[in-house]
Amino acid sequence: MKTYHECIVTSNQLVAPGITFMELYTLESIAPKPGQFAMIRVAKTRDPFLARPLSIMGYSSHTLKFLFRVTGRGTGLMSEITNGYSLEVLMPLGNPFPEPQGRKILALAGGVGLPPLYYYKEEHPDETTLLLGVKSASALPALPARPWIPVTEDGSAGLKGRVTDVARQMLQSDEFDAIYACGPLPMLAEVKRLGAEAGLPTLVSLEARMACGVGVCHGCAHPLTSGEYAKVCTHGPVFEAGEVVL
Amino acid sequence: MSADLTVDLGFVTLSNPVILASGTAGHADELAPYMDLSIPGAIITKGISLRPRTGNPAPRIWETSSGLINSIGLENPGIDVFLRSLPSLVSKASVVGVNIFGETVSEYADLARRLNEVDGISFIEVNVSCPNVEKGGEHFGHNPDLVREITHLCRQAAPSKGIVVKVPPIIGGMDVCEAALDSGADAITVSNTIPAADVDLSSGRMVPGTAGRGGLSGPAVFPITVNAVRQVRQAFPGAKILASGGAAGSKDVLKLIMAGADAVQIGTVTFLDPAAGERIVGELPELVERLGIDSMSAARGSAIPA
Repeated sequence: MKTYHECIVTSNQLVAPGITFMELYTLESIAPKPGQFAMIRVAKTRDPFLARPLSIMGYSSHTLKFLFRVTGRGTGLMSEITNGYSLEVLMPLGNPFPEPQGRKILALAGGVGLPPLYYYKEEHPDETTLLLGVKSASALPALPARPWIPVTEDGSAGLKGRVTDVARQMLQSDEFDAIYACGPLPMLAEVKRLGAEAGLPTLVSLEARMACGVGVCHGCAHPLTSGEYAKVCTHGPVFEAGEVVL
Repeated sequence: MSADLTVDLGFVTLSNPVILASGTAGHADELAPYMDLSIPGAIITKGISLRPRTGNPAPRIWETSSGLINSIGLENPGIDVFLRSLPSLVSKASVVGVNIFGETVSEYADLARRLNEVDGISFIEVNVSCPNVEKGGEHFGHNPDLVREITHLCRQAAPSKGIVVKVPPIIGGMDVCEAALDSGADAITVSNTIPAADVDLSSGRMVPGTAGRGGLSGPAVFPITVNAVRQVRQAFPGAKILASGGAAGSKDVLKLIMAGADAVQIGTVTFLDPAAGERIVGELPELVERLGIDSMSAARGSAIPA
């Protein structure tokens, strides 16, 4: 049975203003895939009340990686947890990005939408071209490995422009077979248009407020183009861009 | 000798007093990857209506201190789709209850009639009190005459099933409980979530949902439930009462029984731990022994002042 397991915080550091990189050591052997997420209990006292969903940024030899922005009390407390402290984690949850199977993937990350695509690039380095878009160089996370092409809106590092503008140019090369993206909704809406223009399979990873993470609370529903709602936790978090309202 | 955890509700005997509450355990066997679904005394499926309902836009949930305000909007696939997936739960659970709601009085009866024919369902929980849909059950639950009519129709439409009426929060009188119990309910669930709201400072709007309000659940409401159960028990000494509201552990389950409940629904705690139902049942024998409780029926109402 899948259950909450205790993990030990082995690293927790600020890697850009407001952005924390956290590593957890898990006693259990798990086999997550890029795009899947974890529910993390910030405090055993249940204050904050709910666990927080975080996309898994990597996993190898019992070490899990996460990257998150401090947006409120829960992520604030999580960013202050010191090494050696334990957190309870339920994982892996949700559906991953599909394996490349010989295809070339253009992976577009916006800001803290980086984790699932960083992980994907790590797992499939030869098939994946990863662009990370941020406002300026100071927002690029200072991680040990930086397998991305930086794109800054102000041109202070890497390519200048929005990540979707750069992607539009790159897609003219016919080099890619699919687009995978994770980032803020306006960016994903633009990615959806890009994918339609290029006629390429386009997948987006969504985030949502969640209570349970396992499909029973119906709190994380996202509207579909069909007029129905889908649960981000169990139907996603990875969706076909054409399937969801963006 | 270990204590007797069984609970006789009249229409069914539960192996223990822990019931997974409607709206927190899915429409079928969604929790099967996380727990043994045969362990809770019963499982009540998420509210079902005649036709599918898409539910409310985000934000549907809002975290509070020790609780959760929800405005899910009674999202469900409708009775036809629901019945197709129900066997996956019936094959795994000990006892299954099905929560229903209608938009009209006759829809309640239609749903009860459909469910009466379905094997594997022990009881129907009639939601007259869901507070988070404009056109949903709110007005039924605030009107004892409508509650009487709905209960009576469901009773007639589903003679082979237990009828449990889930009432709105007990605030003031007992007229809705009385209406349900007088018109054929085998038991009542006390109670549904408590109307609540918050303000999202980032948007400047009230939350959750487009209406800016929802139903509060979780440990925040537990003491309110304890008091409500006690009130209902004192008013109706012979009634079968399922407590619902904030129980998050085995101690809470016993407290609610000692306050007058026959059985206890656990709900929001399942969001915090999908295996909560299994864990809480597992904790009960030792706790019951430590407290010197011989049986659930002996403990029932034992804490109420004379």
